Amino acid sequence: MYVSHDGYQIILFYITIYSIVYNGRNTKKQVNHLMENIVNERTHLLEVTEQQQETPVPAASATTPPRKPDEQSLLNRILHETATNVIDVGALGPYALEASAYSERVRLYTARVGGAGGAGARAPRPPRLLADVPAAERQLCLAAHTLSAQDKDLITNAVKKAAAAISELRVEHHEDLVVPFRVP
Amino acid sequence: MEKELDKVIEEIMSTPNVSGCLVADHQGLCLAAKGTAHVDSAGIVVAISEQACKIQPNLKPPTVCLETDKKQCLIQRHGTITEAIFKLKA
Repeated sequence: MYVSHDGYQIILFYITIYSIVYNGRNTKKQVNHLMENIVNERTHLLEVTEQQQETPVPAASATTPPRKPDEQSLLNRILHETATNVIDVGALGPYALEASAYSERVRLYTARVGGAGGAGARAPRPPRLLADVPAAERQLCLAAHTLSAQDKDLITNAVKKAAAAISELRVEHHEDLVVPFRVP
Repeated sequence: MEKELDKVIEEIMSTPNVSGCLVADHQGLCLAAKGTAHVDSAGIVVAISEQACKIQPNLKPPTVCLETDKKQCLIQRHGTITEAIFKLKA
């Protein structure tokens, strides 16, 4: 099998990454370090330095009033958690990307997304339950006469009469509802 | 007890081309059914009228007309009562 020089280098590179991932501690940092020269769709646009992320917890200061130590330490913890969750974009420095490189990446990623979608992975669209009728038939339907006044009167009167009849519904009892049992 | 209602139903059934009649309350309970109208369709009839009333809630309840080539089903609501009349096309 023929392996070109470049191909060999790439294979070696991936083997290195795998060995680090499987063997080493601090793997994420090392892989990041290895990958930082290669830009692909998985590269972070904003590179937050480890130093910023690992801001030491400000210890509960000695000036804290002794009566409320819990409240103060809780407040400090909340402040610290908020600070670690915030990525200060302004402090990271300018992220310069040339226009040509930008358009090149757009083209490349779009092609990859298109390739992933077109590979048959997308589920077939479910059949539509309601399909529109052809234009000619639609015109015929819409132009057809609506409900005739006679029919409308029929249903309107009928429902009114029925409602009136139901409102007059009463229980007519002919015998006593409570029957005393002759229990000795 | 329901003589009055029976009388109204008879009257409707005596109208030319009417083949069935159904009256139901707002919960879909069938109060009266005669002719081709089936007791089991009471719930569906009430649901149809309820959905139609939602289109323009401020106006009075609309009349729903379901049509086939030969038959017609008219549905209307009045207060809590819904009525459906099944008739043959004139």
